[in-house]
Amino acid sequence: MVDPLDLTAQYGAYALRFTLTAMAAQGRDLKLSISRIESYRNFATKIWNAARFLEFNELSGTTDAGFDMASASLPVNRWIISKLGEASEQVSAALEAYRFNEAADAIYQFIWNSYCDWYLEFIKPVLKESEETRQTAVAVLRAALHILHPMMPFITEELNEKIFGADEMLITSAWPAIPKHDDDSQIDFVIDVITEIRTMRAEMNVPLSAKPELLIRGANAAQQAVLSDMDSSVQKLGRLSSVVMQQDDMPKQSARSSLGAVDIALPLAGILDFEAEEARLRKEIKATEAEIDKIARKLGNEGFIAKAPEAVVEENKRRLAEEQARADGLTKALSRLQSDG
Amino acid sequence: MLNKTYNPQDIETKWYEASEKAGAFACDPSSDKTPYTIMMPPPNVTGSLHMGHALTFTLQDVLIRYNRMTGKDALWQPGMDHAGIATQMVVERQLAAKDINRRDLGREAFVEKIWEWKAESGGMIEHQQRHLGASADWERSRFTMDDGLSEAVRRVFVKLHKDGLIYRDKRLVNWDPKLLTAISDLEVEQKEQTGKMWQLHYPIEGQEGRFITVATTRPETMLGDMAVAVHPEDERYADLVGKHVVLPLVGRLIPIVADSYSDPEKGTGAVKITPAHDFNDFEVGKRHDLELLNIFDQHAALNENVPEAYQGLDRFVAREKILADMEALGLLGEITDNQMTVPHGDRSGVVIEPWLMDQWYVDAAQLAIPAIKAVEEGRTRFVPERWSKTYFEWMRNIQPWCVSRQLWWGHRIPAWYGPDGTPFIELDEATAQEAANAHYGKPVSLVQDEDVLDTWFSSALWPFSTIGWPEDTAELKRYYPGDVLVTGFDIIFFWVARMMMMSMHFMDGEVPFKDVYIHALVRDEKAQKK
Repeated sequence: MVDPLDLTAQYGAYALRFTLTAMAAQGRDLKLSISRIESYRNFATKIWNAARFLEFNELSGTTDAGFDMASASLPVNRWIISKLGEASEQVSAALEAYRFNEAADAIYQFIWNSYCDWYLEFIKPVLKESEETRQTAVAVLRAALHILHPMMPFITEELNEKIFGADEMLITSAWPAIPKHDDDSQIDFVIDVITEIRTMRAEMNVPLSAKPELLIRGANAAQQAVLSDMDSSVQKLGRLSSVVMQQDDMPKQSARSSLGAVDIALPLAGILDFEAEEARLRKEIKATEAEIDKIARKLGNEGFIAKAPEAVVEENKRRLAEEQARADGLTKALSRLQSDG
Repeated sequence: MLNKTYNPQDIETKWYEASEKAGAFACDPSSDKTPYTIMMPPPNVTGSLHMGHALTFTLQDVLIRYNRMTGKDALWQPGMDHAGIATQMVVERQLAAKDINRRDLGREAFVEKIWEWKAESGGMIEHQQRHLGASADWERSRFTMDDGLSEAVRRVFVKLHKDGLIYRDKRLVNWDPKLLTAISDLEVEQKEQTGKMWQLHYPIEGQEGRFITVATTRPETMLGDMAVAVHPEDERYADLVGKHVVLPLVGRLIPIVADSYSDPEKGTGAVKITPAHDFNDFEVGKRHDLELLNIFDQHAALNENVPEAYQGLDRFVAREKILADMEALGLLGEITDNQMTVPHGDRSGVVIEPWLMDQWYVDAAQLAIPAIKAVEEGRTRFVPERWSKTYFEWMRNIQPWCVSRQLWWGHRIPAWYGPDGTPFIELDEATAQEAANAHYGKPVSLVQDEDVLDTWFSSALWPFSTIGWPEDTAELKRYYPGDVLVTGFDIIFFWVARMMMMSMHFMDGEVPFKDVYIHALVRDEKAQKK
């Protein structure tokens, strides 16, 4: 039996509170684990670092009470405000329906992914010169702290005061009203492209230091426009040398993928030794398939299923799924390698 | 500048204190905002925060903070429960360590000790709730035994009595012979055990050499047997119905009766009937107008109603002696192993004895009618919805609620007895005295009922007693009914059902809360319940 007060002493009350809220799915018992609590401690660290980033960029205390989120015009700002609005609505709807886990998840995803991992990265190149962006970065994090407050009351109060110089405490503040922006920014498309590039690079073992070109074919006008607007962000986050709109067939020896109607390719000639890479992938696929075969045979054995403890059977099932996913990834990488034209 | 890392310890305390000091936890009855109310389930005054508490208080605090921010006037009403038996046991144990028995101290001094204990060590849990960040309106905190709530309890008892919904009855209770109190069905733990089934031969009166054989798991109760029952269609015994047996060791004549309670397929098809010591036999006894002969004292030792040789013997000692004596008489038959469930007290761990006592009962079936309807009509809604099934099943089969407890710590029952035992149920002794004097036509001396009420009696009033009832306060008008009750499923019967019943009766048919959110349990990685 874990004493909740030991946990609050070690991790702070916020970590336990957020863990319990995030796990309170209706009709399911909560299996409390230390790793889960630690992951929410990391969440607090993430928020703390985002606040420090604003502070470092001399954004603390700059909150202009007159700034209206509705007036934002840059795509990246309109995009983050629209994501914030979605998160705020999701949290409200979830809490009103006693779906605590969904409320925790919505604000967690917003802060961790949308704000910290994407928005802050996107705005780095323009932060110095764009006043609207500076104001948006502040206003959005502040509103997010409001939304997070019921679940994490103290860290949010601390940052609200320290970073934003607020004189009203969150506990008595009003729930933020977020203006609705139709998200026509295509930022989600940019995120998809970068995510896909990262996946391809990882699957194909492209060295981190390598900066290939990115070739794009079939993008519509809006997509082309946003890629051009955010050219420097895309290059930086995808570790690319340039982004090129391509009309012709994709070159040989490139890694390829597609997002809807859009084809993308990373020419890797000179970066990867294709023959060695192909051999490596084939060898790994073979080893993985052998492992899958071994586990599947075990799970197909009725004697094993009958005698082994449930936990062991579960562990084998989990490993089987893991190995299968690995094999799929390797096979996909191999097909990318072979595809040409 | 922010520190490099977040250090929760200092920051959490600082902000908790600052927000409380700013009055941010308090509701505002004078505001024109929409009220939002959560009645906090009062933890036991003996309690300390466990993981289940951490979950329930976190979820409630999230709701309260969210609703405060969305422009409502939020009241999170805190408090503590006096936790009758649990608290009494804590203090009894402390006294026992000093070799003091509560009976040596006397009632008043003992209760005084409990109040002292409460002042010093009780309510640690409020500290722990604060540590978790609970933004309850602490200034309004109530205790189920404070003056106002005690007044509410008396009023409810007297009113229910006048409405005919509380009555006194001699009934079998689950008697705990260690704690010396009756306990409710919910406090009885049924334990699977391998016991024995003994066959006993009872000689038929006037038919030398003929016996009827009964089988029992509790041979010691034979001294209180009032009949032997056989099934009306059991041909083996058809000629014996209406005859008598001579109860061995006692010599009393008891009838053989036909009752479909005995199962011809089970054992010998004949069963001994001990109406004062078995719940089923009690019902058989009522059908055949059998006398209720109580053979145990409060410690479950045999009393003066059995032959002298057995008087004063503990029930398990008596069992051995009776078996030996029956064997010596050649009246002990087959002995077989028997899989059975044996009732145990959940706090004392001893075998519970069905025992006849005068107890106070609440007519729960009557009070349940509007409480069932309210949920059927959706005026109170369970989330997740499936818990309403659990609620309905319990409420539709509800038994009379035994509310008297043989304890000293709790609300003493407002009943005073006249010289001939007539009870006068009034708000206070003076009123009872007046009523008694009028009844007897002369001044008489009264004795107050020794028992206290079940702890759940006062917590059943929590949704309205905490905000001022029976006074018609501004708070009562404003914050009743609550918006949501957040609790675990383990107290749907103990608490949720009873709040529904009492609130519907005393708040003009208005439900105590619109939603009941039932959350799950917390288990650790190895799936242990916390």
